[in-house]
Amino acid sequence: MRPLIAIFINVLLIGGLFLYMGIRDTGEETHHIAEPEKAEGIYTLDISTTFKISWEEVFLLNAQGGENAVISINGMRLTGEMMKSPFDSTFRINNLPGIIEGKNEVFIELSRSSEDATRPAAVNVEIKKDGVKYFSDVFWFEPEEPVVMTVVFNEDKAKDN
Amino acid sequence: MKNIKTSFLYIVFILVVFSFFLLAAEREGKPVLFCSTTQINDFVKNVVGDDCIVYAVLPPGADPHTYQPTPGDAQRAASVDLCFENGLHLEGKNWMATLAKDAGKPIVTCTDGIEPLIIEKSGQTVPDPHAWFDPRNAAVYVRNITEAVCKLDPINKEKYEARARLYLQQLRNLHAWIKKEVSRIPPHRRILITSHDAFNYFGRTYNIDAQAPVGWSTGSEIGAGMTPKRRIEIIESTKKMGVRAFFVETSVNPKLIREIARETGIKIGGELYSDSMGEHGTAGDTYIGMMRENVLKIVKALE
Ligand SMILES: [Zn+2]
Repeated sequence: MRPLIAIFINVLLIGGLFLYMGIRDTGEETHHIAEPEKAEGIYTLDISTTFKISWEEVFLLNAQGGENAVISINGMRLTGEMMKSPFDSTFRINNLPGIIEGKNEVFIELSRSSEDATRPAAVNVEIKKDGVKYFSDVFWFEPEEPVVMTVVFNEDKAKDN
Repeated sequence: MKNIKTSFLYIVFILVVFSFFLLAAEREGKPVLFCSTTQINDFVKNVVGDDCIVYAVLPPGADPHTYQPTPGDAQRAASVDLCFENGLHLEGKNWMATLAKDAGKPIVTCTDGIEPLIIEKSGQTVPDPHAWFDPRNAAVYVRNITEAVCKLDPINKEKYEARARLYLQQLRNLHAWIKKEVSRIPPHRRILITSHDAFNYFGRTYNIDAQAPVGWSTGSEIGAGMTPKRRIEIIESTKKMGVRAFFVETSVNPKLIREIARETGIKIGGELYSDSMGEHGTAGDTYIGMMRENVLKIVKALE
């Protein structure tokens, strides 16, 4: 009789354990978000504007947490440290961090001087992958309109071939 | 005793007559406008300021899809100069157009000129009426309103146009601000689950995947078309998608979304303004305020 009771208790315990693990697993599944894979390759971002902007100043301001220019990639705000040196009329960020497999988003906000803001403006955004032009778009802005743009592009493995 | 009663009645009579005179004085020469929704009411007020008298049919929190006009609405429609509706069948069974038509008043459809998003509603494709959720569409509403009031009251044309210019600039700033705020959410987390599908334009404009388990139905229809099978599908798919939060809406019964949130263990990210703005005195009592409140809640929950 006793071995039978022991087996019964064991089955109960093991069963309970599995049941608990099952519940715990589904519980974890609820809050699990598949973090996307990092894309391979070196990406460069070039921004050129029809209005004057002191990139030196942007660089410094950003380093101090100022908001003369704001650039975010996939929800990650770039710091002055990541924004590399000014480059004539073009602002370049070498080795753009945070590009993932799938949908990518680059957010750019620039400020114009009050004098420049009385005229329309254009901003050219270009992304290169391993030195080859990969994406480019021109954004137009009316006088007084905030210079804010979002660039969306898809990065997938198939494109590498 | 009789004397007191008579003089009391006399005073009441004088007061009533006086208040009518006051009303008439205030209304003197001013055009009277009648708007269907709280958002349109706000757009119109931003353009006309104190130069017109503006009334809205819907109070804050009311649902335009299921609203039934009252005899009071019909009476008011008969006394106004111009009506404004959203159009694209936001006003269920086109109640605003019917009110205007029955009263013999002209009506402006604020969504005229907007390329509507086409969505599926019980197997049929229909235009999505929630166009104001893209501030660039709100600008179209404002331009349509401005054109109509300038025609109605050309003496004040310059004032209306100046106010509209200022407000359009505010809408442009709002659009830029939303883009910036949303940029803080990693794109793969941008899944917005709400009670009813009011957020398609918002989603398209700001790269957010907007979905609503209830589909089109709102208000009294809540839970309509929700079968146990569909319910299980929703629960499974939200778990798989990695949804971070559900949102309830001010003008929609939150029962169903709260139940699904409980069953999936996903939190409620807050209450969003959708088809109606907030009560007077709340942060969402203007269009810009309601958009701002929504964005702050969405970013906080999904960031
Ligand atoms: Zn709606």
